[in-house]
Amino acid sequence: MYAISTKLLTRKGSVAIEVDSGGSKAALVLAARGTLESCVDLPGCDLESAGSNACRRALADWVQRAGVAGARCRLVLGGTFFRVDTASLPAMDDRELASSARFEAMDRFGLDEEHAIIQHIALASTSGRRSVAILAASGDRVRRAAQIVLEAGLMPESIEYAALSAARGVLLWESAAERELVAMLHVEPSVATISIWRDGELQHLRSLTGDWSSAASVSVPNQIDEITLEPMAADVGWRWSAMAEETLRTLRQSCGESAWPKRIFITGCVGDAPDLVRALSGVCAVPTAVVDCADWSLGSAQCRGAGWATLLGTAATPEDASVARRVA
Amino acid sequence: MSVPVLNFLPATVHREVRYRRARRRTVLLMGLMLALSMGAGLHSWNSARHASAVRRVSTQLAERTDDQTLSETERHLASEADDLERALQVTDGLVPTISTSNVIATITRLLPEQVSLQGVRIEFEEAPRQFQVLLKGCASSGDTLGDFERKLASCPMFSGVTLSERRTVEWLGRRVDEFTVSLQVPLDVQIRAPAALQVASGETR
Repeated sequence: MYAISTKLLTRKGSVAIEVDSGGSKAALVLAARGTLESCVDLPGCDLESAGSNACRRALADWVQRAGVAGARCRLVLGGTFFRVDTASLPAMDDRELASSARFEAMDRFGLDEEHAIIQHIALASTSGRRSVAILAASGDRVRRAAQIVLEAGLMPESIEYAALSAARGVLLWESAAERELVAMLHVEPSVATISIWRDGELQHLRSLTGDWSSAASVSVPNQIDEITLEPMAADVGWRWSAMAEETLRTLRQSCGESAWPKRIFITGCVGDAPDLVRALSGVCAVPTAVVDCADWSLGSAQCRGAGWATLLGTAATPEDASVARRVA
Repeated sequence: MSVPVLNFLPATVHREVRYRRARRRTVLLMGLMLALSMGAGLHSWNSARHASAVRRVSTQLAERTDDQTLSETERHLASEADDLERALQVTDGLVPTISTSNVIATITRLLPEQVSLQGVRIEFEEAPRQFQVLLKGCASSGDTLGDFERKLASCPMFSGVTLSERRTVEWLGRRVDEFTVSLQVPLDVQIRAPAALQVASGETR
């Protein structure tokens, strides 16, 4: 099941499309010349199962209605498309780092070089070693998703990882985030991604698999002090507490005791998620907030909630964000 | 801030996108070329049609106005010009030269018995060439004066006959009408219909 979020660069400027995974609907954002024109949901859009034909038709219909046939688009895929890990490597130049990251990805994920698409991000260097985040995707799955967008009449120019797009949106639009040590948690139905950023530079990246959709859809009345840390002892609430514990572990691994994040931003399909916010702020002792994208864009349309962070992060440019902040 | 952009777009899809863009550009370019070609073709066809029409008209004109026709027209016009010149000479000969004495003689012939002139002043004017005549005199009655004025006005030699002054005065124990009449005698040759050419004779038409 896939949720599609798209940003389209229209004929007037440029257009992009983002695709998220794990949901049962598609969401599209149409933007032109830095202004947001529409946020559209395409329910029941499933790119990889029998429903892909319906999704293809729905997407093609929307492209025709919006008059953006042939426009460039950016495709953003959710966490289920990717394998994510970090590696600590000896000091080496960037060229060697790229080769080593590729080798590490094939070794760790057991991927076939012919059919995998591997990328890496160099993280902060520590004590003579270089850390690198490795991301790999199945070429066939990515190609199928791109092909549907292509057949709908759009021209994909890039395919990105949803959590990084959401982080870009947070860093672009939340002005405090780019000057501090912050953590971001991008929650999708089956994958959650934790990223830590210092002054706008990526420090750490980690993905957690789990059934976060059911956790997001059930309200847990527990207070902070009632969250159990034993997963098997509770029904639903343990998922958020487990996520909070994993987040705490990640923060300790990445930040140590010397510096601690000033804030945790939550993006993705979490709704209001008061339980998640309580769990994270209580366990990690960090102010936590679910991002609201309502003020993130200029234009006629507003995308409310944290679910549009990936779309707007992909769609917006730094110029758009600075203009929006000046207007605000 | 530097958020990394990791592009996972497969090379095959990238090639496909480039191919489709190239095809789209080609189609657009071909459409543009087609439109340009059609425009140029239409313009050429229109120009050719215009040039053909000009050629056809020129040919027709050349056929109708050959050298012989032109010569004949020139000879005909020259002949007409000669005829007109001779007619003018004849007309000049027919129109008598008007002198001051002619004017005085004509006025005298037109003068009724009960009208006497006390003074005549004739002045020559250059533009237009004419005599400006001023008559002063006495008439026994208004009817006599009116008769004199009508005779002057009906004489072809005179124009602009105007009774400019009239008053009743005592003259030799009788009451008479003292008058002043002005008139002009045009001296320029005027081309008229042959029937209208008359020598001033004092007769009324």
